[in-house]
Amino acid sequence: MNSSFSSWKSEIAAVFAKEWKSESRSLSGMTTTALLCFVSVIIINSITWTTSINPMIGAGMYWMILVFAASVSLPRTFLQEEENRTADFWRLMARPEAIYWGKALFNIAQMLVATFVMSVLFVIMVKVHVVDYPVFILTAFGGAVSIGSTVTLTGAIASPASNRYVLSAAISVPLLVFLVNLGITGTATSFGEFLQSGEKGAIAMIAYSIATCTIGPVVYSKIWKG
Amino acid sequence: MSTSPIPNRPAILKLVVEAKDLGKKYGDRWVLRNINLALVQGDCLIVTGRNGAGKSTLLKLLSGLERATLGTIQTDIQDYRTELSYCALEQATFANLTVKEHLELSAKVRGIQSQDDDLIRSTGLEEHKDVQSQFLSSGLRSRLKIALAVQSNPKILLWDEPGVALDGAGKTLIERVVHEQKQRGLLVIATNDPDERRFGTHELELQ
Repeated sequence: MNSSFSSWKSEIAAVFAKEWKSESRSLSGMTTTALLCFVSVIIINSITWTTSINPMIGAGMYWMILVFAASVSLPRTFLQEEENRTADFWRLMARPEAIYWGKALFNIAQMLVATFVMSVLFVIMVKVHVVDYPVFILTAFGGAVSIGSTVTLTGAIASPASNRYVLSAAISVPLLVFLVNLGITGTATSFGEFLQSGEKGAIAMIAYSIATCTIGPVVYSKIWKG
Repeated sequence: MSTSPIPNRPAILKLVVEAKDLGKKYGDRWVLRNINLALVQGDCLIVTGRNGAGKSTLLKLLSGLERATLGTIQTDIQDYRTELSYCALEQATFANLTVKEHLELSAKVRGIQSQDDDLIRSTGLEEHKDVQSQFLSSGLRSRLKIALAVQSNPKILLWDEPGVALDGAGKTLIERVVHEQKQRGLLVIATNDPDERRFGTHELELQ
């Protein structure tokens, strides 16, 4: 049992480390995410310079930036393997569950960093006042994990298809719309909007991310060899 | 389109790979049909044929990377990660990873202990072990793929066009790998190169 667990751990860690090394050397995903977040916050800041933002609209903008940043960069972990013809390396040498978990954990970590940086920029540069920090942090954390895990799943499902980028975006939409709704509720509450279900939204997102992380490896193992 | 080079093997020999009535269709076109194989330890099957005859497709079917439209393949391997290796020119390596990192990654995900330094030395990659694969020549990348393929001492080695991009020393490396692989298992090589055809114990010509 222990040796089996340590074997899984080592395989997942190896996939995570490979993603980290590739990303730290190319910086393609992080640069895309950071630029998208930074430019969006600057634009919002410049158009709302003289007016204060309604909490609900502020929360909507916050989640729109996060979702677009994630949709552009995160599915690449799976889709790029097919584009670069390295997918066969994994198919021949690794277990699908280890690949999925390694990539999902990397995407979630990347999303947590992006969410942290974006949240700091957003609070400083956009005229919103956070009145409830615990709900704001809990919602941002839940959102980062659930978006990271959901986009990983859609990338994994779409990767064997020939028009994988279009398919990945198309599958993401219905899943992310639901998450964005939950996120807006929680973030708007933390910005001062009186909504009774603010904390519930954050908790629902964490539950959602647990569900996607659980079914993701199962789905991937069924489709990974076409 | 059909050929059956090794129809019936004596029952005393334990089959490692057995393919029956194998067929593969892309769209409306049959690339392979009625392929029957029975391979045992020590065999080296050379698959020849003109371009587009289905040599690479046959290897992909045997590796499990593609599914056959018809027929069945049976092998006696338990863990495909360590007991089966597939080495092909069209396979890519991770552009940002070095030679050593490729071998470390492969050993970890396969769950094996690997003597990476010995492997790097024996495949002639010692001077390039810290070079990212995007900066390697195609010949050196081929050597890296050979190192990855033999790292787990596989029972079955599927090798597509081994000699392409390799120099004289690379050809000697192929000869050594073929010799070692015959000792521990079997090989299937897709090639039209006369130098490589001489390694074969059997030959299958695809029409």
